[in-house]
Amino acid sequence: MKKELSRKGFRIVFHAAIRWKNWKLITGFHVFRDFKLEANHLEEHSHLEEEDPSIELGKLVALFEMTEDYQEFNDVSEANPEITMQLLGKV
Amino acid sequence: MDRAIGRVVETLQRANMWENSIIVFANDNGGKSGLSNNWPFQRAKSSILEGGIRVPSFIHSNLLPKSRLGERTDNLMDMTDWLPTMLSMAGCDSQPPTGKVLDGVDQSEMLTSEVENVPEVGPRDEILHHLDYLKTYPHRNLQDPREVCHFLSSATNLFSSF
Repeated sequence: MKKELSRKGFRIVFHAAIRWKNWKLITGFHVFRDFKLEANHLEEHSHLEEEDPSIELGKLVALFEMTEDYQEFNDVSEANPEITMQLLGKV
Repeated sequence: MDRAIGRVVETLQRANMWENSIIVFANDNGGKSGLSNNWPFQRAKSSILEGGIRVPSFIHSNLLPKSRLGERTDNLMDMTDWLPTMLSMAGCDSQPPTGKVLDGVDQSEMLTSEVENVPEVGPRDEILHHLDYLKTYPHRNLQDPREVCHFLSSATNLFSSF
């Protein structure tokens, strides 16, 4: 998935959010912030700022199914790679 | 706020314009953190989680069909849709005469049709909530503005060359 994402050309380090039908995709640091990660967890990742950020790909993308999960608790991007790629293509 | 809206309504009624008016109450973002409750959604104003961006709106007009009174729709609608929608409801062309195309979608048909004719999926199936090329991975902004110009000017794929 990591390779596919970079091939698409959209850099998921950018802050973005898109809604398409019942799906919502979020990319970038928002994904961290809005998941209320502990401060030490952020610190743990802060060294990545200097490196290639794409090594943490999975954590910079979140996908939600909005009909059932309108509270956005369950990131289903891994389980729905096709929808995830489609929405990344749209942004 | 209630008083202010009341004054608008009263003034329209006094001026005999009420029957031919459309009142829209809209929101630009969710309530601010610490001051409001956006339940059941997470987060608040400035977040791209629903607590920051999903808001109620209502429309009132005697021009709307009676069957829509008190009815609700959960179809997607973006703030930018109000301009073409209101233009269309006012009997104007919903697009500007300059040939430029508005981002907003004309939702007038969805809003003015009888309750049994409201489509389950409205004219809009997509909203770009947010796209910020200046903000990247933890708090790092692009230093060189030329980088931004570069991919803004790339007509084929905004991000392919970056």
